[in-house]
Amino acid sequence: MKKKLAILLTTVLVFGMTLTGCGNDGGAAAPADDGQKVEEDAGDAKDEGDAGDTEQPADTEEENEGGSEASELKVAFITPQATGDNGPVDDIMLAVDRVKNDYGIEVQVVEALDTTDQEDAVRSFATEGYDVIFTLFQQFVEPVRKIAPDYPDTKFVMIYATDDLSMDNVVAYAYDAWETSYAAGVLAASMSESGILGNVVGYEDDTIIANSNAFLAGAQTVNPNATVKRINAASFEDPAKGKEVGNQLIADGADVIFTDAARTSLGVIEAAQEASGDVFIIGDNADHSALAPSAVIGDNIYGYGNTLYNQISDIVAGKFESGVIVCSVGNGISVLQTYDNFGSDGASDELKSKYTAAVEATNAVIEQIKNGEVTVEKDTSAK
Amino acid sequence: MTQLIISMIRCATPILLAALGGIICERVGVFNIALEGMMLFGCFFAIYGSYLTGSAWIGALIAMAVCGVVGFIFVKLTEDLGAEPTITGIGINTLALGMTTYLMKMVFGEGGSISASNKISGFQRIEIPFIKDIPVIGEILSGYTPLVYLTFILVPVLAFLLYRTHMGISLRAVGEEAHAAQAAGLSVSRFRVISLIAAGMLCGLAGAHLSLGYVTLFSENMTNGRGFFAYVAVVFGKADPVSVMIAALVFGLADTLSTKVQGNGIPSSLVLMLPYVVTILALMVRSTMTGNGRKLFHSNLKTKEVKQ
Repeated sequence: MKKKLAILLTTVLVFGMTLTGCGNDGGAAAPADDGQKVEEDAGDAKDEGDAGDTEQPADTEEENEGGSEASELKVAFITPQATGDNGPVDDIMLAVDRVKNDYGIEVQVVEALDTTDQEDAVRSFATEGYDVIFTLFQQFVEPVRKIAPDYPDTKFVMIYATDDLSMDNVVAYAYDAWETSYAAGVLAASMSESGILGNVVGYEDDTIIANSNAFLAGAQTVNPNATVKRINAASFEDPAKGKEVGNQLIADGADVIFTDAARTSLGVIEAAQEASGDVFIIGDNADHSALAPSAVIGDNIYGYGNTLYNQISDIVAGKFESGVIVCSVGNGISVLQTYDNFGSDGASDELKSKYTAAVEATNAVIEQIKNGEVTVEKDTSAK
Repeated sequence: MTQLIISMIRCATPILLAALGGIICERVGVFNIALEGMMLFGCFFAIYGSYLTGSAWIGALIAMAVCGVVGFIFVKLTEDLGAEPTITGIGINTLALGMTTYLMKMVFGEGGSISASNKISGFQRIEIPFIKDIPVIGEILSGYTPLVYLTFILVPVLAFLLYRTHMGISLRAVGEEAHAAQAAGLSVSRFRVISLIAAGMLCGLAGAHLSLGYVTLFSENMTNGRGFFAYVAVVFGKADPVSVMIAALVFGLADTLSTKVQGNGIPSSLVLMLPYVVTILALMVRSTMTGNGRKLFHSNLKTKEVKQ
C-alpha cells in the first residue's frame, strides 16, 4: 500500500517537473521532434477567429497552403524571456500576429529560458530548414556566430544585439532608445508639478543608463531644475518590488516615473494608481494604457515588434541586408507612444488639456530629432 | 524616517507571515524548505479565488486551503514515506513554479502576468480611526492592508500557543525529543501532519498577502525568493516568534535600504547586495552568539542517542 502511494506521489512530482518544463521553456526542446508543435502564437484563439483567415486553422501542419508565395516562408522566433512580460516579448508577439494577418505567415515561437537551451533551439530550427530565425537579446550572438556559417540559406536576425558578425546571412538590430527617452523626458517634465522625476530600471547597462541620462536631458529642456532619481530594482520580474520602489519615489516627491523594467513596472503602475495626488507613468516596450488610463501617459517602445514586422516585409519583397542596423526615431522603428484616450476613466478636463499640450510639445521634439535639429548623445556616464 | 519604517514593515510582512509557518515546522521537527513554493501556490490561488468570487477574503481562504493540502502532501512524503525533506522541498518549489505558470496560461489565457482586471479585487487599506490622526505614530500604524495587522497579531498568538498552552508544549516536545514524546503517549505523526497543514495555511496567507494585499496581480515566480528569506528568518530567530519577527524586520529594513540608498554616488549593484550581506552576517552573528551554531531540533535527537 505504502509502496503504491509512494509510486503515485513520485509520478505526481515528476509530472510537476514536466509542467515546469512546459511553463518555463514553452517546449524549447520541441522543434527537435516536430517544429510545428511549438506554441502557435501569443494571442488567444479569439483573435484568430476575428482575423478571418479561413484557410488557416491554428493546427495546420502545412503553412497556409494555397496562400501567396510569401506564406511559404518558414519563420521562427526564439525568446530568452517568457511571453506575457508586458514588455519586449509581448511587443514582438503583437507583431507576430500582425505578420500572420498581413502575410499569412505563421511565426513559430519558442521560449528558450535557459542558456543551455538557446543554442539548441537555434540549431534545431536551422537544421529544419527554416528561412528566417529571429532571436532576442545579446545572449544569442555567440550561438548565431557558431551556427550561421553552416546554414547559408537561413537568415539569422538578432534583435537587440550590437555585434557585426560579418556574415551575409546575419543581421543585428541595435536600438538608439535614448532618443525616445529624451522625448519621454520632455513629456514627463511637461506633466510634472514638482520637477522631481523617477526612473525605475531592472538592470543597469550602457543602453539603460544612456536612456536615463537622455531622459534627464530631455526634461531639463522644459524645466532646467528637473531632477531624475533612478532606482535599480535589480529585477525585470518582481512587481512587488516595483510597487515598493514606486511608493518610495512617490514619497520622495516624484510625480512622473519612467520605467525600463518590464514586469517590475506593473508594480510601479499600481503604486501610481494608489497615490493620493496625480502621479504619471511612462512605461516601456508595451501598451500599458489599459491598466491605468489616467496614470500611464506614454510608453517608450524600442521597436522590437516593428523590427520583426519590417524585416519579414523586406524578406517577402526580396530584400535582405546583413550587418548591423541601428533603429531610431529617424527610421520610424522606435517610437514614444502616447494615448488619445488618456484619462478615459475620469480625469478632469483641465488635466486632459494639459496632457494634450504636453504631447504636442513632445511630438515637436520628436520631429526635431528626426530632422536633425536635435541630436541626442549616447551618454553612459554614471550620475 | 517615517517612510523608512513604513516601507520596512511592508517589506517584512510577507517574509514574516511565511516565517511563522516556518517556525511551526521547525518546532515540530520538520525541515521545510518548501515555504517558497507554498507561498507561490498561495499567490496564484488567492488571485484565482478572488477572480472567481470577487472577494479578496475568499481568495485568501482558498489559498490557505490549497496550501494546507500542499503541506499535507509534504508531510506525508517526508514522514510516512521517508522522503528526503530537502529534495521534497525542492520538488514542491519546482512544482509550484511550473504549475502556477501553467494554470495561469490555462485559466487566464496569458502567460507572464495577470494584472488587476475589474474581476480581481484586492484588500483595501485600513485607516484606523483616531490613531490615524496622531502625527507620526498614526502614519506608521495606519493605512496597511488587513493581513499586515493580522501578521503582527499572529506573532504573540503563536508565542502564546507555543509557550503557554498544553498543545504548544506537546508540539515542542515532539520536535525536540520525538522518542520521549512518543513514550509519553503523544502521536508524533499526527502532530507533524497538523503542524504542516497549519504551516501551509500560513504560507498560503503570505502568498495571498503578496498577490492581493501588497500588489493586486499575479506574475510568474512573483515570490522571488521571499520564502527562502523567511526560512533564514526562522533560523536566525531560532524559531522563536518574537526573534523571528525582529529578523524579518531586519531583512525588511535591508531590502528598503537597498533601494533607498541608491543614487548618492554609490553604485547600485553594491547597495543591492545589502539584503544578502545582512543575511550572511545575521547567520554568522547568530552562530557565534550561540557558540556551536544552529542545531536542527531533530538532529539533537540523534546526537543524544549517540551519547547514550
